[in-house]
Amino acid sequence: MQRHHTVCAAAALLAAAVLTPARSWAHAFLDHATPRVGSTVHESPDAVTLAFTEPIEPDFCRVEILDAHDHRVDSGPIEHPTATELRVALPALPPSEYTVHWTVTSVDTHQTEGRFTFTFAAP
Amino acid sequence: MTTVVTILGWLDLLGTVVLAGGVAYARFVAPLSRSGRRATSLAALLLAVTLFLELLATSVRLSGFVQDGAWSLFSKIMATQWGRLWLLRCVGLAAVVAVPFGSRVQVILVALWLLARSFQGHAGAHGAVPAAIDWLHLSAACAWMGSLLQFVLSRPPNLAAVVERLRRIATLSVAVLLPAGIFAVWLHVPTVTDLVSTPYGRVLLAKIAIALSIFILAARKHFVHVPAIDRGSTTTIGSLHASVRVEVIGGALVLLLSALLGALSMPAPTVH
Repeated sequence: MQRHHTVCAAAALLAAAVLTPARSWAHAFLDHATPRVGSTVHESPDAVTLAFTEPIEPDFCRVEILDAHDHRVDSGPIEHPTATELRVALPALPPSEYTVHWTVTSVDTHQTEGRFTFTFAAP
Repeated sequence: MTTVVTILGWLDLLGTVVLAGGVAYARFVAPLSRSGRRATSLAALLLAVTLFLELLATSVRLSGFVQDGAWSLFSKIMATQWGRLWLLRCVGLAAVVAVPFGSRVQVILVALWLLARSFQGHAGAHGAVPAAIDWLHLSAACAWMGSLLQFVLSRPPNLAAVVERLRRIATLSVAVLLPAGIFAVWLHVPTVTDLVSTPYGRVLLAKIAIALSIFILAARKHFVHVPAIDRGSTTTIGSLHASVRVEVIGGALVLLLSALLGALSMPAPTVH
């Protein structure tokens, strides 16, 4: 009877795992961003928010925002609103194409980096 | 750095399998031989050194993020999930070696200690359920491969009984390893194409190929060698030992590839 319970518990655990709908990745990759990756916005965004595929360690993350002339935008400190998100406040931006370069460390200490652009065009 | 992380991960896995497998063998199969005891002691020592080196390597990898000195870096690492679990693994290792070898308490401590490892790695970053599945996978691999190593290092007088107990452990381990392994592939590789088009997928394929070869050898042992020994045959004993040695070497290769998978980046999802 005890063996039967053990087998049932193992099967239930495995079934729960297999039936979990969302799949995840063992390194933190960018899932989505605001402003959206490659988008054009017509109002200066007050912040850039990056959402990753898994929890990250905020002390070991870096976000750099560059304008079209590779000048660094003086953004605020990195905020960590949720386990998978980073947010940096932005000053009022002049119209330009901006590149967001991010480096993050997931909770298993693996690092990933990437970049994307968005454009702020005057309305 | 990938090479260093892979080598350290391999040493960590080897030590874990030898120590945890030795405990499983002592509890469920037979008392350890003198060589077997020495192997588990060396494994505990190897793990202690490897844990320290892993902290060192992680500090070097993360040093670029902290500008205000080594102590600040150390405190920040210790505040991470990885750092807390690293500390738990160190304390757990000390507890495992402090209790009587092969006792029920030690089996429970080893199980909890393996759980900390599963939560510290890739699977733990995914969440609690993947970490629990990884723990089942790791526990089964330790019980199976660690027991086979102990068998190689011993010459038990009651061979038929020992082989029968080993067969039970191997059967149960395969029953856990196969579904847990399939789950890990499903979790880590988004599409079938990624299995051949990414370094992660190709290493995973190599690992599966070696694991399947070990399964075939184990099946031969299960259906041919063990029944023959049960019938009193002595001619198959040499063949059985040779097969087990090959399985242990294959197991070490699988652990190497597992360590490499732990260092490689998985196929990335689409960003929007």
